[in-house]
Amino acid sequence: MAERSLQKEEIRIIEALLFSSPEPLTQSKVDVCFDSDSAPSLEEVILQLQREYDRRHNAIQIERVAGGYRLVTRPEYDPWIERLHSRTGKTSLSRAALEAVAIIAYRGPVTRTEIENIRGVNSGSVLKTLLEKNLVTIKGRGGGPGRPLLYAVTGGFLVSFGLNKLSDLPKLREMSELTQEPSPTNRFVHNRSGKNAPE
Amino acid sequence: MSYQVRLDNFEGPLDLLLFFIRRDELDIMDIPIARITREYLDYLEALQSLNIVLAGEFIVMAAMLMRIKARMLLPQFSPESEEEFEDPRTELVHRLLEYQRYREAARNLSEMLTNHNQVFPRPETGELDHVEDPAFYLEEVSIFELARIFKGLLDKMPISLPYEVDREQIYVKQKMAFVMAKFAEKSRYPFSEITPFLASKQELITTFLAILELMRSGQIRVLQKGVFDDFVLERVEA
Repeated sequence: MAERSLQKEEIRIIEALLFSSPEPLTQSKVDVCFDSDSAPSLEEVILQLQREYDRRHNAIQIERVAGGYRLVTRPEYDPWIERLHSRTGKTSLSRAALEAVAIIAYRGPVTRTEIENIRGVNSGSVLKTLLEKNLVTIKGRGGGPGRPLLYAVTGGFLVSFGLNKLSDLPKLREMSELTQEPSPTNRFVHNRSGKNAPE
Repeated sequence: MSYQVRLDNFEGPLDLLLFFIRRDELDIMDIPIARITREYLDYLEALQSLNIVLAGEFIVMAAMLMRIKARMLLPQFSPESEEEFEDPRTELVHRLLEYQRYREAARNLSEMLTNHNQVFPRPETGELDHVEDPAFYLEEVSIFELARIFKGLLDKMPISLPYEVDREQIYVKQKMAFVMAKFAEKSRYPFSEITPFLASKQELITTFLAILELMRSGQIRVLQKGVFDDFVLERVEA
């Protein structure tokens, strides 16, 4: 496909498509809207649009998430939006759920037993929560005795955490690193160990 | 020694052990097992004295710690090579480190979540939902999802009440009459001719009982050609 400059109209069309889809917009979805070869490069359009929004100090920006793009508000306006909508749409997870989803995200697909072996506690209810929130799904069965269910993270997980793809997760620290440096929480513990430590 | 710690902060025995290691600045690669076992057990005791029911995993870990401690107290018997001797703490240390990795990862994820919760996408609206293409939704549901939903529906179904025994007796009499009535057409007929009329397991069993009763009272006899063949009912002439 020959390089060509983006037409103003194309940019507006993509903008309209972006607005119309709460689901992230992908190049393949864009291709469907245009005649065979004439679809513009979504990535290029996004670059242009984002530049425009930045110039105008728009309250809306474009986010790259789950392999596509979508319109989102800038974080500065979060307190205002909260006043209007209270806590709608905000995902909140317990520490247990976060631990479990971390294991599934980094090691998935995994079985429930593997999760419980790492956490050292029963993880049944936590898995149920994650399934219900559509952050994880069952991706088949493992081989071996009992053919246990395998859990993996979903596209919804990527969206909730603002990730474009799973490999964008911050790297797990190697075990060797953990044993060498003092963990940052050491300082935290010291601060709270005084008699007048806040409750 | 009082613990100024919030009890709900520990996600499990590994979490608790890591707390002791951090607080006392112990070297995780060389855990003083007697000391940490003592602290751990003291803590469990404190919880139990507060009438807090502990998850089984905490008890299991207590047993594990004591076992490690015991093994370390035993004289190290290494006949030939030093390599044979395995530090009984190794597995525990490995588990602690592994858990620590993911606990940290969980903290990172928590931060990511908090940050990302500050941006809002366009909320889903009814009119613009992609309902045109039903396949859009079909993709998301896996067979396991369907099974889960089905089980949920099954669980919600009312439990069918067992039939009362005396009702059963009426049925048997009815079925006996039913079986006998068919003899008006012919003096013998195969059982397979009645089976289409039997709508449920209950009916089948009752009919069987009826046949047995009729056999016992000598009103019919039952014939069969082969072992697993259909059997034939024949009225006994008075």
